[in-house]
Amino acid sequence: MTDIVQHTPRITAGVHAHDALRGGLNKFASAVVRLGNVDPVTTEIVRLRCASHHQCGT
Amino acid sequence: VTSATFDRVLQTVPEVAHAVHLSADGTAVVPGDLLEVCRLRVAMLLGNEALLAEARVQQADLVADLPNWPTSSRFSTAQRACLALTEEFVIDVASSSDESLAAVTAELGEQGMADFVSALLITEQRQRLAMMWERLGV
Repeated sequence: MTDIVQHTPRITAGVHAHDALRGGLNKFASAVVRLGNVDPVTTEIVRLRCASHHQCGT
Repeated sequence: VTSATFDRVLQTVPEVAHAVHLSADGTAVVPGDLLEVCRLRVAMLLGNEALLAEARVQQADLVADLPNWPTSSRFSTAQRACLALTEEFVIDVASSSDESLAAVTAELGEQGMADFVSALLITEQRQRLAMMWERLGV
């Protein structure tokens, strides 16, 4: 695995993508998370890998 | 990949299908010429031959020039800035550079940059999904 480059925030607080974009992305993420076709362990491994790759701290 | 393909493959999960269409519709917020060159560049980087074959029918010159975007006069400063970020985004999103983001912001403004990055994510996701489905034969 490659090292993750740590960035300081690169967008002003309060600036978000247009509602038309955020709405679709949020709905997609929510709908996918609610699916139950993949076993929980695989789901969690993928979730953690994605969080690491995207530097998601939430 | 067409909307019909997404409907067919995602027919058992209509909530996901709806969200996919909603996301695609949202990309209209970004100037079409910017997103189109980046969509094609994503296709080249991912090896999305199906999309490129389709594009060559209508936009053969653009597809042929696209690998030369850093030097070709065909592309505007804004397109070049977005293409540079697109390449970093596809190859290793976590290592996208401050410089590339700043260049896009200089051209589109901060709001425009935020919109572009989200639209690029949607564009890339659609292609990865389509390619995976093709390989799985679904």
